[in-house]
Amino acid sequence: MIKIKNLHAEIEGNKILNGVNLEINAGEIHAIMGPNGSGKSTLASVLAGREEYEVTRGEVELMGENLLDLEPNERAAAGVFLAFQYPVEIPGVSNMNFLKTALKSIKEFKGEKPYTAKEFLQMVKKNQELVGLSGRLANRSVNEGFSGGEKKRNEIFQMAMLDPKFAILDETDSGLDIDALKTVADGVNQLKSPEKSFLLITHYQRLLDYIVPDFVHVLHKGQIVKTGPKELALELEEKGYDWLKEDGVEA
Amino acid sequence: MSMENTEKKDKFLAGLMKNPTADTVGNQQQLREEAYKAIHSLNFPTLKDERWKYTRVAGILKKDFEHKPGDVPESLTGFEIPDYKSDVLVFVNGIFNNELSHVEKQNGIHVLTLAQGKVEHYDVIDKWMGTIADHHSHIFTAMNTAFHKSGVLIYAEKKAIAQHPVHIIDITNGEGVTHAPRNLFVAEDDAGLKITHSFHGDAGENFINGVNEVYLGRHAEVEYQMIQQNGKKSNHIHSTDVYQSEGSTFTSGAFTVGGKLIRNEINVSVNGENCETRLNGSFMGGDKHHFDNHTIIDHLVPLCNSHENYKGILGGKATGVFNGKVFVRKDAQKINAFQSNQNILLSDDAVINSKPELEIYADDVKCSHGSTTGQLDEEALFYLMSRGMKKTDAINLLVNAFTAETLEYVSAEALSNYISALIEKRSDELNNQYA
Ligand SMILES: Nc1ncnc2c1ncn2[C@@H]1O[C@H](COP(=O)(O)OP(=O)(O)OP(=O)(O)O)[C@@H](O)[C@H]1O
Ligand SMILES: [Mg+2]
Repeated sequence: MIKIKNLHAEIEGNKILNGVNLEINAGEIHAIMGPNGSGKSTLASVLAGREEYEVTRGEVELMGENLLDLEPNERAAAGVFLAFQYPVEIPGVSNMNFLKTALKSIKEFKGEKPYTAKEFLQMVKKNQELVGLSGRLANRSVNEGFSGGEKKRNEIFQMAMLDPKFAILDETDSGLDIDALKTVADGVNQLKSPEKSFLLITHYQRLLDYIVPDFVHVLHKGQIVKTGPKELALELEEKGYDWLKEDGVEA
Repeated sequence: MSMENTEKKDKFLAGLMKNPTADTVGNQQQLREEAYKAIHSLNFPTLKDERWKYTRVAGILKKDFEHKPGDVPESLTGFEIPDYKSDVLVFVNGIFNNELSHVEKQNGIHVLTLAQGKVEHYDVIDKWMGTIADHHSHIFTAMNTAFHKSGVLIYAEKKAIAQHPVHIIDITNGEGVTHAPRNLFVAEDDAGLKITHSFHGDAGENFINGVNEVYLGRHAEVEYQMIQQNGKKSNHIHSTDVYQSEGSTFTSGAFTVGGKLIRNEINVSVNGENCETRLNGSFMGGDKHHFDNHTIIDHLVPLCNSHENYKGILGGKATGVFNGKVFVRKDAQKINAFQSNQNILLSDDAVINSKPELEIYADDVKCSHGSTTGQLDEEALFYLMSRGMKKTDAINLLVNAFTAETLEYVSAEALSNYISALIEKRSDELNNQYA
């Protein structure tokens, strides 16, 4: 599905990613853990196409296509989705209005017929139920005045609407109560399929009880310093990251 | 004034004075002559004048402009507002066009050209014209007063509430054209009027020098929405001078999506208790456009509310000016005055000079004013694009959201939709000046 090779990225002259290598096959779920500031969100943003980050070396292929050449919206059309760690509030822009336009553009990009108004509404209803987002919120401005948990649910709602092939969830579990966590996990599990891949960024093993990853990676100073099975998450929760740093695994 | 400047001024005025219009009924000719005298004692403003600090009119004065007829369009397609039922008065280069205009008769509401009004309602004109706009100290108002040819008189008798709005369409065509629309809107006690005024033009260089006088009697309501879709070489100076009596509500909008040099002045004298004054506007410039909004709300008496909200979006090398002055006079207690100007600069070369000003001489008042200028929200843009929106769509959506507040007081939905669509179209044009 996605191949990240020796990816280096910087912002305003600060080197944040220092050679990330990662390959995720279709149907797989990978988790990335790592200390604050290690570059997890940066990796997510670079994959989604945020312009502020400059890719200085390396390449990323999504289903054989060079991802780094694409604009963020083209990446969305190609099937990339990022659930933001900090979803943006956009006053005056209605959730529904923007999703409708976004879906229309994606369909247009793919050369497919747009959804009819009826189909769209049906999808909205179904997915709202899936993530437990009240219809009241869906009609408000994007994330404006949403609680932390509501914002995260809204991210999953949008993911369900856009039906991506490769979804990155950046700390979608942070700030969720246990019920919300289950709902979000259910949402992901229902979308899971042999054609889809997920990259979960998290600090907590807890999420991985509900969404079971195939691999767990540790990102440290912009590099993946360890990869292991789902049990690695438990070990990290117990021991923290210091033992990895001390190992001197840096390249 | 230096010799050289006097010569320049005389030469410029000579162009404007060709084929003069004279009035024969009432005091109107006297008013013209008074204004004509004032012109000679006044100077054209320079950047040294506080009120014109950021707006240079020298470029206009260098050119030769004349009153001359223009091409009359075959139909109103492209000028009319879809689904907006209204009386329509069409002017081409300041000359009234009867064929394209239509007015439905209503009890107590009189909608006619100023020229016609000067004959049929000369008493109304004599009573109000020249009493609200200041032709004694403002040279452009003096020029309009002395040289105007026509315009519109809308007169609502006591208790007459217009059932539909009036749409004034001002089209300017050709090279080197000038005209000076002069409009008088009178709403007597308990009367109600809604007026939309749209400006359109071709690519020719022109100079429009307009004046509106608006009188609101006790408990009268007037809504005046101005839409400037001027051509790209249009110079347009427009003064709207308003007098509010007790319990009246004045609402105005200024939506500028065209033109080269635009200067809109609104001066509201609030001289009765329990009045509402709402001034809103959005201006969207690119290239080297210069758009200037100057407003004065003068609270002379207690117990009034004023609400002012202007938004600017500037790309390319455009300059915007916002100067909003609110006076609260001594003893004008319990005034609520809100004023805001927010701007988005799409490029590094765009400039805004924003100066909200409060001058308060009373002590029991609630006033707030603020001005912000920033870039387009990059995070929001990325967020929208990451969901699949094209960059242009995302920018348009953000621009529309930003300007939406200024449409809050546009009462007709068809009009509000029309203005939104213009804003979106303009946003599209400015997209390529986004850097
Ligand atoms: N715009 C920026 N300018 C300068 N430095 C930045 C910028 N954005 C991120 N950084 C830096 O890059 C580093 C990595 O940040 P990033 O957000 O990717 O970390 P993270 O692993 O997601 O951390 P967390 O677990 O706290 O979310 C941090 O040191 C951060 O300060
Ligand atoms: Mg992060």
